[in-house]
Order: sequence, then C-alpha cells, then structure tokens
Amino acid sequence: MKRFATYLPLVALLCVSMFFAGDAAAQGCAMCKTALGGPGDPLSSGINTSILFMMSMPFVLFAVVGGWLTYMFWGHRPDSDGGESVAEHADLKVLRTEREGAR
Amino acid sequence: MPRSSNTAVAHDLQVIPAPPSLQVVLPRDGGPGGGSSRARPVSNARVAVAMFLVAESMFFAGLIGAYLVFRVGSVVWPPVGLPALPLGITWLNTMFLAASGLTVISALRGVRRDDQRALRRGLLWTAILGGVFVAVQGSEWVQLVRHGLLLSSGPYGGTFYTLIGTHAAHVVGAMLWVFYVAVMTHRGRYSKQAHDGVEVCAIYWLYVCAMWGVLFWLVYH
Repeated sequence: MKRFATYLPLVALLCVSMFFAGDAAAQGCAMCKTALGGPGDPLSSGINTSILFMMSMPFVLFAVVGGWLTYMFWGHRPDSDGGESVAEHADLKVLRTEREGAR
Repeated sequence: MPRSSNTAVAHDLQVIPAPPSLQVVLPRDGGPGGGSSRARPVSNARVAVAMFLVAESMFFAGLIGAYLVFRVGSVVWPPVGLPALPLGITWLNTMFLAASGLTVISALRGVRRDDQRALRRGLLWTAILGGVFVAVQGSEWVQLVRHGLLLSSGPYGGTFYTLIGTHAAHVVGAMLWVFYVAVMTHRGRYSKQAHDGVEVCAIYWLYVCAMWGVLFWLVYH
C-alpha cells in the first residue's frame, strides 16, 4: 500500500499528460505508409479491420475464460450437492492426518 | 459442521487407522485428488482443455486475420473468373455438424446419469456425422478444383483452402479423439463419478462445431 502511494503522483501525472498529447511527427510504420494508399485504399481498410480483429481477440479470450472461471468458482457451493463435497474434503483431511500420525 | 461419528472419533484419536468408510479410492480419471468435477469447481482436465482452446482460438484468429486483409481489401469478391462457393450443400453440411454437436451432448448427458448405452450411441453418431461432414466437404473440394479453384488461385483460393482445410483437419482430429473415448467407454473407463475424459472430448467437439459456424458465416457469405 505504501509503495502504491509512492508511485501514485507519477501515475496521476502520466494520466493527466495524456490529455495534452499532440500529433506525433510520424504515424504508423514506414512500410504501411509506403505500401498502402491511404484511407481510401481498400487494402488499407482490410489491414485496419484485420488489426482491430487481431487486437481484440486476446481481450475477448481473456474475458471469456476469466468470466467462466469466475462463474465456476463464485457459483461453487461446496455443499450444493447435498454436502457430499464438503464431506469428501473433510474425510480426506482426516485420512491424511491419520496416515501421517500413524507413520 | 456436523461430521459422521467415525470421522469425529478418528479425528480425536489422531492415530488409529482409517475405517473402511473413510478409505477414499481415487478413480483413474478424476477423483478428489485427481481433478474430479465434484471436489473442485473446475477440474484440471477442464482447465487444460480451456487453455488448449485459447491457443487454438488464437491460431484461427491469425488465419481469419489474414483472410480479412484480402476479403475486405478486395473490391470484387470472389475475383472475376473464379467460381463462387456452393452455399446450399454447405448449409446441409452445417446441419450435419450441428447435429453432431447435439449427439455429443446426448453422450455427455448419458454418462452423467451413468447410462453407458446412451454414451456409446451418442459417441457413435457423433463420429458418423463428423465423418459425413468431412466426406461432403471433400466432395465439395473436388468440385471446386474441377471448376478451377486451386490453392494457387490467388488469395481467394489460398485463404479458402487454408482456413477450411485447417478446420477439416480439426474435425478429423476430434473424430480420432471421439474414437479413443469410444474405445475407453467400451473398456468401462467412464462412470457417473469419473467422466472427465468424455467431458473434455465433448468440449473440444463443440468448439470445433462453433468454429465452423464462424468460418461458414465469414467465408461462404
């Protein structure tokens, strides 16, 4: 918490500076700039669509898998199926304790 | 939390051997220590197949990304002189694959209620429908090659055969997995308590079916 408070002004300054960002001298890589014909070119439109699609995929997958795991863990009630799961856990714990004690 | 009397006694004494009622036998395909879906919210097998499917999704995303560059970047699609893709027969084929998704779900439901017959029947029909899908697609490819659409026919042919061929390879791989699960079912491997193998196979099959839906909409329309 203390470490976070140390860096907080720096993060705030970075966030505020984003509002004052001007246009950069160069936009995009040199290859795209020379190979594509600008906004009216169908190929540049295709590449833009592909970039957006590819860029969104990791986020979509992360959200789907993360959401699924969250749902499974959040919705998991150990005794939702008649307490059997809790009993299994308890029995295993006791069993292990006993075996260790016996040794 | 209430416990059984045997458990309470065993806990208090700490040293006596476990009574037979507490002897937990871990099944080969799951169990409290081995990834049972009952003991944990998500079994290890399910997490593993989820990670595998994430990787598969990124693989297909790369292929789809390449396809989008050419598809959106072309003024005329399909290019002049090349045949359009057959929509009618592919719709029918899509129905076969969708039906196989239903049969694999019925197999999964069968094993969940310990109905081995329903499990075998579901797996058999899944494999048959998957085989029909691949066979119809193969015949479709033969027709397209005869009409002059080759892998070397520019981006149109190249992206079509790469995308659809990759998916067909996945269907064949999923069929082999279903065959393996069917053999294991015949040997009595799966039960109501331990059926992670069937579950992950069904998840993969349903993923392949869902991926076909995306590709069909993207490539054939």
